[in-house]
Amino acid sequence: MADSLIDEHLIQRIETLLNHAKSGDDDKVNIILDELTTSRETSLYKQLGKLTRDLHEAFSDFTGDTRIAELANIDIKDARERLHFVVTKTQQAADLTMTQIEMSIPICESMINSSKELEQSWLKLTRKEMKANEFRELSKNVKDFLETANKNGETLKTHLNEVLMAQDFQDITGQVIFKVIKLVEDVEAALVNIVTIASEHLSVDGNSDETEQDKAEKDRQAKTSLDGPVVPGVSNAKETVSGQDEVDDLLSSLGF
Amino acid sequence: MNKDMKILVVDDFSTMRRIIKNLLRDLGFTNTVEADDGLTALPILKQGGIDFLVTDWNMPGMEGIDLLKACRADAKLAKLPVLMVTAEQKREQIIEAAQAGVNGYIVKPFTAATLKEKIDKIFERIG
Repeated sequence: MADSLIDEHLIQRIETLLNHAKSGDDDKVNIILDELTTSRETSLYKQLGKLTRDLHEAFSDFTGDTRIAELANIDIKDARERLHFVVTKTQQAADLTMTQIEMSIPICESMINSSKELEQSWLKLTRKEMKANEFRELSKNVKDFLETANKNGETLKTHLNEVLMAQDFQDITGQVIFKVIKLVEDVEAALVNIVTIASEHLSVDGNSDETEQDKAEKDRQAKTSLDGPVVPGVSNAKETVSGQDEVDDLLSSLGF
Repeated sequence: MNKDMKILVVDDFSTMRRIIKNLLRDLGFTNTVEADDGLTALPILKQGGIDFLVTDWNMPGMEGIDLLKACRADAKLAKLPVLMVTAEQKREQIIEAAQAGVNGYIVKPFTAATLKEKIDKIFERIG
């Protein structure tokens, strides 16, 4: 309604302007042209003023949102530490696994060689080509081989158990990576929020309500969420124990 | 300690379940079943026949601490020995588990020797 009234007023003024122009009244033409230009400028300035104010409020809202500051200052740094921890853990696991394998392979090779030699002697025996002194030697070699096989079997089992235990990195790093994924989702949500504030610069109030709600929800989640594996440089040393011995001490202090 | 006892291993990471199962086998316990969180573990426990529960804490669906509390609240499972094997190392969490009636608490990463020691201790106490 308001727009159409202004339009009618404009059309009137322009018609008057045209009439004055046709009749060659320069003074009146200039007066009306000035009047029209001023009215256009005033409305432009008003709009610019509103946009500036909205942007200012949007930015204040943005910097005042502590969750975003927290994401940038604390959580991103945490994520970096956590990912470094994942790299360290996976490297340790890989090194440990390869060391155990490198220790196991020579044992297998020596077993293969000894059993091949024994097999040759054994075949000689079954072909009845063996002399008495050779048989005595074979008998001693079989005894030695059995002893070695027993010992090597135990050693290989130990190495394999070490390899098995080294795989626990997957559980630990998996939990840490899930935490980083959650952080990436939070950052994404915060960025979407900024984009929303910037694009709908008129509804700053509505957005700030939403941020408060988000914050309350995040605080609630933070209280109930579990910390997961202790990551050096991230976890609070006072609140956590540093290993099984401290767990045992704490439990025994509770009467366990 | 009965080596034939049926052990339920609960962890959301299959790697950890396999590690624990293999370690248990090495200790002579071959009768094991698995579940990937509290929600799948509880029906197995309620069915009966489980003699020992080894559970993680942080799992989707139902966490280990809630599984422990559910067991203690169930007349038939109230005395079930429960060993918690978890990466949670906060003092208040260890205390919470103790108050909820856990029988043993192992922090990850752990060794085969620690697992053996804790299981021995739990069954020594129970007798």
